[in-house]
Parts: sequence; C-alpha cells; structure tokens
Amino acid sequence: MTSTPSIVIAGLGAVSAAGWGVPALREGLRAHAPLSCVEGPRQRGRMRPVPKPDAPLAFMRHVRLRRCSPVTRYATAASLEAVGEERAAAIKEGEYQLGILFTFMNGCVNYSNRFYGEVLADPSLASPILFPETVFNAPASHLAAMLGSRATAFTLVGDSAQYLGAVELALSWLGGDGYDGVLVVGAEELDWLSTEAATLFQRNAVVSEGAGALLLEKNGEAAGHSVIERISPTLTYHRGRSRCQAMADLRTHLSPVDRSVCQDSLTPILGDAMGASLALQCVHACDLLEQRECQRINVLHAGGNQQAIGARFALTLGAARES
Amino acid sequence: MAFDASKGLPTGEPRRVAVTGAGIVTAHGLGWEANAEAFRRGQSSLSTISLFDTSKQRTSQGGEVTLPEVIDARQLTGRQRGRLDRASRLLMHAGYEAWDQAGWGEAERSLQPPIIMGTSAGGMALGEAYYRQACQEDRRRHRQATRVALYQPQSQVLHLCQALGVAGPIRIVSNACASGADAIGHAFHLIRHGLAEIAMAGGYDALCQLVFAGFDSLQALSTTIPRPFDAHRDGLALGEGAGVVMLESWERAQQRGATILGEVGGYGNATDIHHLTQPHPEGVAARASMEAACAEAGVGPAEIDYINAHGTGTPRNDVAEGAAIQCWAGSHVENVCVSSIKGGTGHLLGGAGSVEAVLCLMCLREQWLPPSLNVETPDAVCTFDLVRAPRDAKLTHVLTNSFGFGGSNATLVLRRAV
Repeated sequence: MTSTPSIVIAGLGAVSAAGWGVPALREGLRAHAPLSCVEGPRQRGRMRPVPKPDAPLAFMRHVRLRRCSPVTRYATAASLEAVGEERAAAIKEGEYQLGILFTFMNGCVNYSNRFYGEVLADPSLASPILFPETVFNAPASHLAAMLGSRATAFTLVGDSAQYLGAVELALSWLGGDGYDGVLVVGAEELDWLSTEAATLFQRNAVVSEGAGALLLEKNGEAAGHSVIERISPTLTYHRGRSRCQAMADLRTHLSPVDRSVCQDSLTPILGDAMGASLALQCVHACDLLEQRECQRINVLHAGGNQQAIGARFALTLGAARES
Repeated sequence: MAFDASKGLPTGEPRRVAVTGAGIVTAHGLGWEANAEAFRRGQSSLSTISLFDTSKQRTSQGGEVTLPEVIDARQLTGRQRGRLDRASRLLMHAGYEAWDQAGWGEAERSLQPPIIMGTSAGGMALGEAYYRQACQEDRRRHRQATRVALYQPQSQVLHLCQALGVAGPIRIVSNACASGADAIGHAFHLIRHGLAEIAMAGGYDALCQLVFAGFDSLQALSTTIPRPFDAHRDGLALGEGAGVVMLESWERAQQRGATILGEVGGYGNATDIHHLTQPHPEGVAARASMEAACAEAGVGPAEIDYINAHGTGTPRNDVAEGAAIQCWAGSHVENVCVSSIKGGTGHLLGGAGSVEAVLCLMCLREQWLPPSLNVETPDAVCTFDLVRAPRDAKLTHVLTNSFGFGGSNATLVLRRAV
C-alpha cells in the first residue's frame, strides 16, 4: 500500500531580521548574539524588523506585487530563493507543476489595520484597493500569479506550529502524480498591534517578522540533499495536555539525534517571528545539514495556543547543494 | 497524521468516502430540517443587519443568523462557554448536529480524527474590538489578551474540539470563499488515500464590520436584491453560518451500520491567476476545477444532474462561471440544471462551500432542487437549465462550485448513497 520515495528538500529560502537570504540567516545565527531591536511604534513592546534590502527587489516590478504587503514581499523573496531561476522558468512554461502552501498566524495585518481604521473613520471612503490585500490568501495568490502557477495554492492559518502541518499536507500532495514540487512558505509581518499584543502575554517579548520557504520534491535519488525522515503526530493542546506536556511528548516521537533546533535556538537572536518562526527553524536545520554541520537534526516547536509538532531531517550522501 | 519516510507515502487503490453526518446553520435557521424546508420553498432570509452599524454603507441587508441565547456546553467549562464568540457558536451548532447525526462517540474519539475547517475571517469581530480599544483607550488592557487569543481562527475550532472531546490534529484552510469546499476536499483526500479513517470537515464565518465594509468598498454588495444569474444583477448580500460534515471510509461506515447521507466522489481545485479579485472572464480555472473533480469521481457532464453554482450575483462572477459551465458541459449544457442559493442566505464566504455541500446532500437524499431567487431575466450566459422555482428531480450526481478571492477555485462532486 505504500511507496518509499525520498522527500527531498530541493530548495531553501529565508528572509529574517538577520537579512535577505539563507546566507544572511546562517551568519546571523552563527554570531550567537541578539540582533538589535527597536521600540514598538507607540513605545510599547520591542521588535526586530527585517532590514531593508541592499538593492531594489526586481520581482516588485510584477504588476501584482506593486501594492503588496510586506509579508508578500518576504514570502516572494524566500520562495524565489527556494525555487531557483531554472524551476521558475519551467513553472511559467507549464513544464513544472508547483503546489503552493502558505501558512500564517496573523496574516496581512498592516493592510487590515489600515483598512479597518478607514472603516471606523468613514466606511463610505474606505479604500477598495486595500481590502483585497487584507484577505488571508492574498499573498499566496500574488505568489502564484508571479510564478505563473495555476496548480493548487492553499493558505493555512493557525498558531506558529502550523508550518509543519503544511509540510505534512505537502507530502500528501506529493504522494499523487499532480505535482513536481510543493513550496511550503511560512511568513509574517510586524505591525504595532501585534507588537503590543505580544506584551500582553510576555512583558519582555521581542517580536519579529520574515519568511521561510522549503521546496519539497519527490526524488528517488536524493544524494546531496536533506530529506524529511519523520514528522511527529500533531499534539493538540487539549484534554489536559499543556504546552509543556506536549513538548515532552514530542520528544518521545523523535528520538535524539546529532542536534536539535528549538525555538530557543532562534528566538533570542531573531526575535519571535510568529507565523514564520517554525519555517525559519526548518530552513536553518536544513542549512546546517547542507553545511555538513551534522547528519541528522530534529526540529521541535510548540505553538502558542494550538499544537506542538516536530520533524527530523537528515542529510543524504553526496555533494552539498551549490550556494 | 504523521509521516515516517521508512513507511513511505500511501499509494494503492483509492477508497470510497461516505458522509455520515451533516450540520448546517444559515439565516434560514439551525439544522437540516429548517434549512431543507427553506431551500425547498425558495425562501429568502435576508434582513437588516443588527450586529454592527451599517448606516454609512450603501446597503444594510444580509443573511444574519438568529442564534439562541444558550448553547449546549457539552464538555466545555463554564469559563470557556462564557468566552464563546459568534463565529464559535455558529460552528458549534453545525458541528454538534453533524456529530450527533453520525453517531460518533468514544470509538471515534480514540481515532483522533483530523479536524479540517475553512474560514475567511475567523473571529474577526473580536479583532475589531481589540483594535477599537487599542486605538481609543490605549492604556486600558482589560480583556485585550482574551480578544487576541480568541480572534485567531484556531480558537473557534479548538472550542468545537473541546466541546466534543476530540483531540485530533486541526487544519484551518483560509482560501477565501473556497475555504469550506477546500476543507472538505482536503479531508476527503485524507480518507480516500488512506491517511485517515475518519475526519470532520467544514467551514464557517460570522458577519463582521470589516468584511462587510470591504465588500461594500468594492461595490460588490447589491443595493437592490441579490439575484444570481439575472441579467440585471448588481451584486451579492453577505451572510453568515456554518456547515460541517463527518466523513469516513465507506467500509467503516457500512461495517458500523451508519446512515450514509451521500458519498464524496471527487474534488478538484485550480488557481485563477488572472486578477486578485476578478475571475478570468472565460472561467478557465473554474473549468479546470470542475474537470478535475469530475475526473476523480469518474463522471462527465452527462452524469451531473445538478450544479450548485458559486453564483454570487456579481456581474463578473456569474458570467465567468456560466462560461466555464458552458465550456465544460459542451453539448450537454442544455440538460444541466444550475442554481445558486446565495439569493436566499447571502454569501457565507468561508462557510459557503461547506454549507452548499450540505445542501447538495439534502438534494441527493430528498430529490429536489433549490431555486435561484429573484431572477426575472436570465443572463445570456444561461444556456443551461437555470432553476428558478423549486422542483423535484431525480439526482444521482451533483456538483458544487466555490470560487474565491485570490483565484481559489474548488469543486466537489457528491453522489447519492446507493
């Protein structure tokens, strides 16, 4: 009843408080020092925003991205890095079927806040340009349009652990014949409301933003890539299972290996990137494998109010991907 | 659900998927009976919205649900019950009905079924309240943490799970107006491909000011009466509600002697990259979605007895969907019965696809067709048989379309249980 193809991580992409691209994330985390943070706009809460890119982003010339939210910019940059130019061209030509899975915690909050502010001021003058950009699946739609992908594009929402649920869904898509690859993107953007909201739960919270992307492909010959070995069951917080209990249970599902990437591995340096945090953990873990810093690595994550989940990635034999 | 590379991805013969429970809440009322009666009668339940101020909008009509004061707590604590927002209550009414109808209990709880729900706004009304207090009384933090926690879509679904004592993995699909259909389609595939034995799926959305004002800003709301597929249609009415179905493998449903309400035969989806809010005028992705669902169900246009159209009543949607149906049906188009229920309930956004899936189950079980309301002059695109008055019909396969912002297109094919 089952086949055993390797699920290969065929591409990685990241935008984080450490900068644009996987190398920036790698260097930022290697330094082991918290990045500088700034006060929230109303002097409540602290945040580590994504720095401005060194050069204008070429993809922003695409007609659909002209007015897009920051979260779409981050997601697009991370996705293009993960997909690479060759595949991007094949997707446009219809020669590569790409599924897109997008995960969020908060969504397009900047435009939502702006639009609702206009509604409260005078709904008859609220901008029809802003409203569509507030919808949860707007970034996935923009990304699909920019890549020219007409295959399935799903947006999943939930707490920050949702990302690995999306990876699991991607695996089920890859189990069929409809997709050459599935891009799984976790992204988030900062705004004053979510910055202040974080302080309601943790006085010294430092929130952040960005995007992480993994491109998954089904590949029988996986040499030189990282592969997914295991995804734990999703441990929903319910029936007496607390967040701590869920994390303890998670460890029983993923036996110890060379190294683990937990939230504590990234958050003190980058800040809590909310819906992007687990995606960045996964990208970092796969990057460590490809940098030959370990052979096997666990990623563990406990979301804020819904679930805990983890995964084990491993490096297969062969040359590391050219970076 | 979990993944182990040593065991690989499931392959092999796809399994049949039965629907053994269904729950529905719309402006027509709570539950199967109230809704079936209203749909069958061709009733409109639109009214003036009372939940928020619409005095400065171009219209104030919508499909608002009358909710009872008290909701059955089941396994919720008193504190949890006191915190339920409107979206949670809508979902719970539908979820309870579906659960009870399926007759699920401890055996099903122990399977930790996946809960796949669709929504486009979650608990947005709480998010609005948080924003208003943060802006207007920015030093007051009273109840703000609760609002932040509960406005997130996982809260409504967690409430339902807690009330029913279910601890399975939760997946929340937010593909705009296709969310509910995509959630059911996703759950259907989990069972069909052997990744789950049972699943609970559906969608919900509650009316809220931000979304209402948003549709009004786009001039998508009708300022007269919503009349999908009428040549003079001028927009939609928003509604609220929830639809939930309980899915299980056909074998399991038969073995336990469950009443099978219908079968999910196929699911298809496609992304329309034409524009963020406007469909491709020829409905290219809509057609692809319908073709994919029919291919999976192993049927063609000649076997589809009824199409529950997305049929919002906006000028662009209906003509694109009509064009897609024409193209998909080819020479059979005159024989295909089509209608939209949105003229009577309003457009339920994230709940639309699941509510309309439940409607299709009603049609299959009771052998009738609901009408498209308020149509005086059918649009020229209606070369199909537009159902304008309630009628009895012999139905074996029905198809339901859900198309959303961002180009999310989803189609389900449902089959009469035999």
